[in-house]
Amino acid sequence: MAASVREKQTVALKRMLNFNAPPLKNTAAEPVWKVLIYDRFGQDIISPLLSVKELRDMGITLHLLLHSDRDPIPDVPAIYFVMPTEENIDRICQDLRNQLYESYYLNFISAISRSKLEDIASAALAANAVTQVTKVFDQYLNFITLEDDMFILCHQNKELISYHAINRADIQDTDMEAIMDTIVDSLFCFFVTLGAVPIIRCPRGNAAEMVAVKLDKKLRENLRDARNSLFTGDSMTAGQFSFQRPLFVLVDRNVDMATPLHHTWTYQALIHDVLDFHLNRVVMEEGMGVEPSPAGARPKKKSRKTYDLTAADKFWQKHKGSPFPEVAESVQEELDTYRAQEDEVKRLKSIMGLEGEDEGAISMLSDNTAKLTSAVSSLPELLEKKRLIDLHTNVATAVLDHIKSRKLDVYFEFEEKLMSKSTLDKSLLDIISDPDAGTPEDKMRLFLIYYITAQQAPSESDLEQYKKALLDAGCDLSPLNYIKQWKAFTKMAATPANYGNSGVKPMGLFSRVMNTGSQFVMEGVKNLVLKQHNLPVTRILDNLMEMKSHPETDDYRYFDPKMLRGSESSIPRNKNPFQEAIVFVVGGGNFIEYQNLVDYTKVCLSRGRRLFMAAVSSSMRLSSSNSSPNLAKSDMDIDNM
Amino acid sequence: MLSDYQDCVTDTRTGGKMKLYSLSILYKGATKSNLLKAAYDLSSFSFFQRSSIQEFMTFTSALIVERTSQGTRASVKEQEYLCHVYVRNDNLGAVVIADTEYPQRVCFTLLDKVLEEFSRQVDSIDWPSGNPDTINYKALDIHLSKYQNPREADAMTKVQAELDETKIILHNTMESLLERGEKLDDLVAKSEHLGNQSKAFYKTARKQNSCCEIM
Repeated sequence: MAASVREKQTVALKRMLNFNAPPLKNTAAEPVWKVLIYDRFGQDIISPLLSVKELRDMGITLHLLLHSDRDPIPDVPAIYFVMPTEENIDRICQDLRNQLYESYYLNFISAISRSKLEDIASAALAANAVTQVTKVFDQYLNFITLEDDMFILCHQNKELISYHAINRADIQDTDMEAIMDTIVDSLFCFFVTLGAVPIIRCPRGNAAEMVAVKLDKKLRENLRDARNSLFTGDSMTAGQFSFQRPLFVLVDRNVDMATPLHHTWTYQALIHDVLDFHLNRVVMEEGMGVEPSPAGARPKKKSRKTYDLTAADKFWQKHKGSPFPEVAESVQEELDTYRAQEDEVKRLKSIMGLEGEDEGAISMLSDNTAKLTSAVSSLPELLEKKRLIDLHTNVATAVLDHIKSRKLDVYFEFEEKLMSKSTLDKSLLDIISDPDAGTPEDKMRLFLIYYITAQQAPSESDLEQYKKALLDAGCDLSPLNYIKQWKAFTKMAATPANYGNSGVKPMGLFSRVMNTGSQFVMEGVKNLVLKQHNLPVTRILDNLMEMKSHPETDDYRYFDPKMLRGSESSIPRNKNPFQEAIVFVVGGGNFIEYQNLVDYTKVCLSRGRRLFMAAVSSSMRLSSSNSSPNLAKSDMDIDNM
Repeated sequence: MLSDYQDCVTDTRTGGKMKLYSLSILYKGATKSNLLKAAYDLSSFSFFQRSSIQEFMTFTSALIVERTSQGTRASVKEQEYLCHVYVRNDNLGAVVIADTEYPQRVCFTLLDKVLEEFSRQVDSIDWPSGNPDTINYKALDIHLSKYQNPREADAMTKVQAELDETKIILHNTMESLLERGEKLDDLVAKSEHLGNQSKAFYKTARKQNSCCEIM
C-alpha cells in the first residue's frame, strides 16, 4: 500500500534534518546537535508534521526564523529550509559573511535558479566559507500537508492565488501567468514527493485548464531532462510500487459556488467555519462565549489558548468528520469513561491505603510500591486522555455556542433543502428577517445559495424584497452582484439539479445528550443527520475514476506527461478505472468537499478500492472566516508546535 | 469566500458607470457581413470569460450589420447591453457595444467619426474581401479607449445638429432583427465567429430559459 503523502513529506523532512542522509535505524546513537533556520514558508510546512519534541529527538536544539537577529554559534552545523527568494538569498549570504555557524546545509523548498545559486557561491567565496557550505539541496516540498490525505498549497500569501486573485476583473496576463506558475510549482513538488507521474484530466476554458497545461509541460520537461532523477525511482520513491498511475483531477472553483458558502455541520468543517483554525491549530479565547458578558458583570480575563489537532489524537481522527451532535455525545462518553477509570484508580489506591494502616510498616512499604506502580503505569495515559477530553470539551463548547447563538442548525438544514431541491418548510424571507438568527454574513451566504441553486431566477419584485430584507439585516450586497454576473455567464447552469437528492433527516428536536445531564446542552438545537450524497466535485471525480460517460466530464482534456506528444483530445488512452486519485480545486477547496470525498472513499474501499487522496488549494477559507489577515499566526512562537 | 466574491465586483451596475465594450467596422455584403477591424475593452470581465465574450460581441456585431438596411442607424437592446449601429449607403458599417448608461448620442458621433476616418484611410476596393489581418487601420483601439470617458471625448467633437433629426430605430431585443422563422440558436450554431466553447456556453444558457445572458 502506497504511503500517504503526509508520511512521504515527513520522511523527506526527517532526511533533510539528518543532513540529507536517510535516518539510521540505530536510535541508540546520540544525534548530532544542530540548528534549524527556516522562513515562514518552511515553518508552515514543518509545523503540522513535526512537533518540537520530534525536532529535539533529531538533534535540533534551536530553531530560528531566517529574518531574525541571530547570534553566531560557531561550532554547530546549521540546516536551512527556506524559499529561494531574493531576500532569503541575501540573508544567507550575509550569514556566510558573518561566519555564524560551523557548516551550512542549504535546503530550498522549491528549486533555486542558477543565478541565485551563483550569488550564494560568490558570497561563500568572498567570505572564505566555501568549505563550510556542505550541501545544497532542492527539496521540492513546496506544499503543506494537513492530513494523511489532504494538502494545501501555502498559508503565507495565500490571497495571491485565491479565488479573488484568479477571477477578478482587470487582471493582466502577466498577473495570471505568475499565479499559474505559483500553483504549478507547488503541484509539481507534490508529485515529486509522491514519486508518481499522474494522468491529468481537466475541464476546458478556465483556470483549471491553464494549470493542467502548465503542469503537463513541466512534468514532461522534467521527465525528459537527463540531468535530474526526480521520477526515476531514487531513494525517495524506493519501497513504493504502484502499478497504476494516479489520476489527477483539476477542477475550477466555478463548477460549484454553493458548497463553499454552505454552512457546515461536521466537526472539522465547523471548527474551520466558526473558530480560528489554521494549519491544524485552533486559537481560542478562553472563558469567553460568543455573547458579550452581561452588563454590570466584571469581564472575565481572556487568555488565548491554542490547541493542536493532530494525527495522534484518536478522538479527533475518529470524529473530525462526524455530525456535531454525535461529537457532543462522544465527548460526553469519553468523559464518563475517563471518570470511571479515574475512580477505579482511586479505589485501588484507597484499598491499598486501608490495608497499609492495618498492618504496619512492612505492608506500608509494599503498598507504597504497589501504589507507585499503579500510579506510574496509569498516570501518563490518563493525563493525556484528560488533556484531550478537556481540549475537545472546550472546542466543542465554543462551536456549540456559535451554533446556538447564530442558529446555524437552521441555516444548515435550509441550505441542504435548497441544494437538494426538497420542499422548504419555512420561508427564506423569514430567516433573513429574523434578528436572532445569524450574522449578516450568514444571511448573505444563505441567500446566495438560494440564488445559485434556483432553477428560475427570482422575479424583479421578489428580488427587491429580498434585497431590502438583506440590507435591513446589515448585509453588503456586492457578493450578490458578483453571483448574478457569474450565473449569467456560467455554463454550469445544470449544476443546481445535481447536489444529490437526499437532504437532512432531523432525528428529533432534543438529542439524547440533553437527557443524560451532559456537558453539552443541545436544547433547541436540531439533531440533524447527514444522508450521504455526492457533491459536484465528488461526482466529477467518480465519473473520471470509473471512466463513466457523462456530459459534464466527457469533454475534459486528457494529459499524459509520459507520452511523447501532447494532444488536444479528450479521449483517454487508458480504459481501466483508476485506483488512486488526487483532486485539486483551482480557486479554493473547503472542508465540506474534503469530507464528502473522504466519505466517498469509504464507499469505494468497501468495493475493494485502494487509497484515494484529496487535495485542495490554499485559499480554503470558508466565508465566515478571515477577511482580515491572521496576523497572530506569524508571531507565534514555534515552541508551541 | 464571501469576501472573495465581494472583491470580485468592480462594476456594481448602480448607474453612472458608462462603459464601452467593443467597436467594430464591418462591410455589409450581399448575403453576409464581413468584419474589417475590431477593438475590445474586456477589462471588466474575469480572465477566462474574456475570449468567449469577445467572440459573442463579434457575432452580434456581424449579425446586426447584416440585418440593418443601408443608410440606417439603430440601437439594439440585449440584457444589460446596448448595441448601436450605423450602416452607410456605401455598405460600410460600424457597431459599438455599450452599457445602458452610456449616452446614445455620443455613440453615434463616434460611429460617424470612425467610419469617416476609415473610409479615408482604407481603399473601398479592400472592403468586400478584407479581414482584420489584411486591413491597415490602427486607430480603432485609441478611439475606443478615448471614448470610455464620454464627457471628455464629446467635448472635443462638434455635436452635429443633424444627428438629432436623424431617425434612430430602436430594437428591444436581438430577436426583433431576425426574419420570420429564423432562430437565434441556428445562427449561433452556424456562426464562424464563435468557437466551440462559446457555442457550448450559449446552448446551455439557452436551455435554462435565460436568453443568452452574456450578450
